[in-house]
Amino acid sequence: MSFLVTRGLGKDYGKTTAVHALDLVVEPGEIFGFLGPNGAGKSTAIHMIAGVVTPSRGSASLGGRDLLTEGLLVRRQLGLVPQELALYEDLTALHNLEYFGALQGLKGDALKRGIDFGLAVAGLADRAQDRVSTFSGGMKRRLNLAASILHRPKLLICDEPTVGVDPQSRAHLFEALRRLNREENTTIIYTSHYMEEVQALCRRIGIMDRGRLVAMDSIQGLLAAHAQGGIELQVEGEIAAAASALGSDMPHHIDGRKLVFGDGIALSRLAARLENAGVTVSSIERRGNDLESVFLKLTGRALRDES
Amino acid sequence: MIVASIVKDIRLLLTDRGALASMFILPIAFITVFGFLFRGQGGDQDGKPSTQKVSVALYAPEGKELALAIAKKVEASPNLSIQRVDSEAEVDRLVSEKKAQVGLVIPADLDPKAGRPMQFWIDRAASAAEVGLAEGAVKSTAISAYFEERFPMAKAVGIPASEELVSDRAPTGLRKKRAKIDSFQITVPSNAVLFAFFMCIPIALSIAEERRLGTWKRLLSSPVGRRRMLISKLVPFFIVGLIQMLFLFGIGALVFGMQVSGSWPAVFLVAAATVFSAVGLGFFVASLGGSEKQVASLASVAMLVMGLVSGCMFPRAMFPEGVRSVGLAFPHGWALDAFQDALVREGTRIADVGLPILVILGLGLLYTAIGSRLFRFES
Repeated sequence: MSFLVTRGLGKDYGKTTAVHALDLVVEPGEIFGFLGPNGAGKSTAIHMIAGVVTPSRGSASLGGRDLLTEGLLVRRQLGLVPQELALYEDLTALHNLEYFGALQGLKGDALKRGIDFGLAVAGLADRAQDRVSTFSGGMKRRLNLAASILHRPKLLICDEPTVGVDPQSRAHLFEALRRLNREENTTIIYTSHYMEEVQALCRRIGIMDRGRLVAMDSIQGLLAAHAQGGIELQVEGEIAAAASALGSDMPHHIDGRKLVFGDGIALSRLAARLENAGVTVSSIERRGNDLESVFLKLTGRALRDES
Repeated sequence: MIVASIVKDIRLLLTDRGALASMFILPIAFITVFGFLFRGQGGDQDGKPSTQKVSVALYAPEGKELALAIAKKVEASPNLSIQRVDSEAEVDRLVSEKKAQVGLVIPADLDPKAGRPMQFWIDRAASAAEVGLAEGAVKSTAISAYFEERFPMAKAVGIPASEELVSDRAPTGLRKKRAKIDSFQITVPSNAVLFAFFMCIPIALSIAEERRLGTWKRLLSSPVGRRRMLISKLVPFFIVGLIQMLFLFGIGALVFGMQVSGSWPAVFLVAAATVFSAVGLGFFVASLGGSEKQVASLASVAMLVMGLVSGCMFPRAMFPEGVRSVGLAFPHGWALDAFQDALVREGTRIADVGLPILVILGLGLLYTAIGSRLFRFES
């Protein structure tokens, strides 16, 4: 049985639709990656699942329990690592964890065990008595994770948990998440802007754009379906005229202001043909055959200024 | 969870020296300064009101016996501080230059029937309380002196003297006022109420800060109902507010010798109702949303204005009638009246402050209800 299932889950803010209708299935013990440009709706999507935002439509269930009608029971099973450093900087790490553990209903020995577990995962056991304001950015990020796993959630939702951390702390966070997944069988939903993070951590990926899930598959599946190697040329003058001058024996297509050729194209033949046709090339680029190229293909290259 | 919230918020408060100072040290500083500044002005040992003497510029030229006798009686009044001058123009000048509150001219040939009455100067642009006090003190002294001199046979034929015509009566619905009112019985409650309502600022700021930090998301994603979550957010402030009140009244009683002529339980209940109302108002301010800066500036101005018109800074009696009514639209005014009763009226029981307590609680509930309608959990 699937662990997390959403059906037509959507959210409107006034006349603006942040998420249209999210159909998502996450299996137990899976690490699922959520990718999308700024304003794509991925934060809204995970906040709906985490109970932070009330959906405008659709349904969701976690472990067979309905998110809307059994919200309290569902939230006992999940932990949210917010994008912000959601900590009280003037309190010690221990006092932060005591409070966040109590929020999850932990007390007495269970709370103590939870705190020990969180501190161990974060590698901060020796800094428990120190104020958070004295921590480095990486330590705060690790404590941010620790505060979300005190109750050993079955689903851990991480909203860009590595923003602004050094490589060492990033590696530690990755290892911690892998350990949670491996040893606790924690299902993880991970959002990030960093393709290499998602590629390194996740088995399956969903790509969101403009409030819609535009692709969802394993990394191999996404690459097979959407990755395009080849060459991109930018030419001076009318692009359509340049394309017709190339002839039909050099397969290509037009992508905006660019001429795109497949991987098998012979560069020397292409250069000669362009020269004969009097086409001046202003730039030439090799198209990647990786997740980033898939991401850009699916979400476009235009800059996004939405929040 | 509520206990954990209380512990967390108290820990946070203890790390914030600025907040601690504004909650506990600042009110004590205000109480100390104003308490000593106005010390001895509440009343004297005999229970007679020791109001400030009214300064009077008196011009009473040598003339008829009647005028001289009235002038003597006016000079002998314990409530008036007389400065004899040599001309009507001098009277005018002293009042104009605010060197005397009142000017009084008793013509040598005083004869009201013949159009030669006593003349009275006062700056009516002064505060209503000051005008009323000065006018009453001087006119009543001069008029009663006139009647006693004009009708000397009145006593002989059995007409009582002017002071015997009216006798003071206490309203039966009110308890007896304590013989001597100490300035701290006024400054402690007024500052306690003022600063209790300043609690609105940290309440609203705390919620705005939780949203900014992201800890609000943690709260929303935790297995805690939203109503319970709000209660656990507000209860710590109620407790801290109550501690603040008890601290201020405790210091007032133990350090400044503030007397409680009514009852401590009544004081406690009024304090609890006041803090409840302040927390409700803080929640209402938080429900209006906005950034931390917006919240702080809006709430500061609102609390100052509410405190001012309700009498926390100056007695409400000093304000015009309209403003006095507005003062009672806020819990501050009711709290001050209730504290006044519990502190200075001997034998005041809890039942005697029941109505103001109910009004204060009612206003607190109203703020909470409006706040609940406006509050947005999701930003």
